[in-house]
Amino acid sequence: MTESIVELRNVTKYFERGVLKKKRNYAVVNVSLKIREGEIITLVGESGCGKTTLGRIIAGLLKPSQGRVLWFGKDLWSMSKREFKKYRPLIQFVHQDPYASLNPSRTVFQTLAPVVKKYRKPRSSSQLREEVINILKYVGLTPPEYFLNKYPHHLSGGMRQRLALARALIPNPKLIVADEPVSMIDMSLRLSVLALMKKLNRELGIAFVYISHDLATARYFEDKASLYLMYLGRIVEWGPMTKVLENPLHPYLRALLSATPLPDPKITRRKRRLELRSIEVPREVLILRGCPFSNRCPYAEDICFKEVPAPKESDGHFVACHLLEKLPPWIPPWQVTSDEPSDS
Amino acid sequence: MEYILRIRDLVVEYAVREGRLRAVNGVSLDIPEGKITALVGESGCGKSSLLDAIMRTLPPNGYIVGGNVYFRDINLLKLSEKEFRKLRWEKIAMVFQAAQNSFNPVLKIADHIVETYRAHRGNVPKEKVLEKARELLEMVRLNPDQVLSSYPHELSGGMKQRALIALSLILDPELLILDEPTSALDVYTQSVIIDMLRKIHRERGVTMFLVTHDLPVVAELVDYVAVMYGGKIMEVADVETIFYRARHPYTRLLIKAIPSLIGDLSDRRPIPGEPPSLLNPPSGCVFHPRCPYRMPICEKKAPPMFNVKGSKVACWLYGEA
Repeated sequence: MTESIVELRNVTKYFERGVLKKKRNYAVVNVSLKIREGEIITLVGESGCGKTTLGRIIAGLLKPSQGRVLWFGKDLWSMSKREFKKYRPLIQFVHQDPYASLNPSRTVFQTLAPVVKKYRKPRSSSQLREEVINILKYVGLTPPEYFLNKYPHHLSGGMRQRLALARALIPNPKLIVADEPVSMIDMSLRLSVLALMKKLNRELGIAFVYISHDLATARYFEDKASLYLMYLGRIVEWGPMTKVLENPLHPYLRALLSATPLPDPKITRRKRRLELRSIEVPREVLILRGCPFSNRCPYAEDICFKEVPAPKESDGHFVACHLLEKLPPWIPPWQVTSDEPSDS
Repeated sequence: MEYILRIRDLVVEYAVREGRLRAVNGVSLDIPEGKITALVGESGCGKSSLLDAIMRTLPPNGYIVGGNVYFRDINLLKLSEKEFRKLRWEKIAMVFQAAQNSFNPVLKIADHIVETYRAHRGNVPKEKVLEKARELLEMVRLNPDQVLSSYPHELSGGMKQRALIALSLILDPELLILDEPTSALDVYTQSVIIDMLRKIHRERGVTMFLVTHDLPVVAELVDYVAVMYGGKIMEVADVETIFYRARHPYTRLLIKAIPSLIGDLSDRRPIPGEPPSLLNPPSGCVFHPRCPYRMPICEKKAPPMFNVKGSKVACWLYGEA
């Protein structure tokens, strides 16, 4: 078995609020997962589900309230400074907003040069320049000479995200946590940034945690990724993405799939949405008791409100739902059942 | 077909440090009455500037340099501020992208709506306005009493968006303009709102003009699509033509570039190149630097709109100079 880069064991994160800090807002509840070398994990969930918090915990940017975070098998929050210094560069983070994550007063060269100096130890300034140029070429910012003296405001969202990825890959990381890296990028360019991530994974063996609210972009990694679906702080379903998408089990995942619009007018208008009991996530939620989805789930029974469902496994595909045996079989809502063919 | 809104040769520019930035470059577009039309395009294509020009919400450095916009027979650009204010909400209602900013934060929703109503219709009894508001809120599956007695911050983003869409209909406008109506919302809420817009359209027959970058939403909701790129309209056609038989190379490549939950992934690819700079746009057709079908003329001369079997296409592949 390949070594795990990051492992979370029963990680919970809450934020205290109120004057006396007596009240707790839970962002992540009891999450365990392993990220192995070269793996791609997609972490999917809607706004407020805790996916960004979880991503920050994985990347060591946030300390969990409970549970352990292991980096390369060692406890992150009790390791020595020396060890931390050794591991820190190996786990990188790419932010959602490439407009905010790059220093606006630094050119492309000035953004990358200090990182290259630190981690690639060039022997001369011409070697430094050459390194930077090679990296720009590698991430598709070509011709590189054109970009060297550009400021972030000269670059499109797609270019900025390439630059952010370029910066992240300089220390030869083992893992990049990418938080919604394409959500602020134009539709026509999203695939190009996803393709770049795939290339970094394939050619450099960098593992990725791809955080997104969008199953359609997550699916881009389906040939080799696993899918982790998050709802109100908990992972409710996970497994190899092809398997999970072929036979989604959790009612929440089914609802999401049935609600996602498709770029095909005939098919998307034919599909039926799985109706939930409330449109929005209810505000006052006690996610510590019962299934986190119980108050929206159309199938919920008594037990769902009382007990947290334990995950059940079938062939590497896990789901935390009490009603697994009672759920209707999955029929993709977009499946063509009538005799009317789609003429795409 | 009757057209409720006719845009003619509209040009919008911004004064920026580097000079004049032309965001809308001679756009002509007709919005058919009783239908749902979408203007789609990527960021920086000029779609928001076009809306701002129509609704008079351009920033201080934005100017309408040329063109006309007719709402029925009224030239909107020639109206005085007072005349336009009368028209807004009553004939043309608009739902802005950031719904949370559209309600007055210090007023309860009920007070806001009564105030808006009275500004147009005079001193109508409060109860009469609220009765109508309740009916509209129920249509979007909100609890009217709860919403009306809330301040905007007490509602979630999706609830605010639904409330805003419902209440924009309080004066029975003929045209509802929606700017990215679903973009900041969760997938499930988005899907519910699309259904509601469809229902509102069916039951009330209000014409809708939707501006968005989200093609899957367009596929799900609209009748007609106008595709904008680099300040110009590239193609106008009905929704099925756009998705299945698009003629403009940009439209075709754009459809292929959308990540999708279904279909073969190897079919999907990004459009090579980068969007044009509006400050320094390419010569000729704005899409030519990225176009796989470009011909010598494309670099020299911008194509006019050609009529091709029910669709309009600005591309030299479909006509001669």
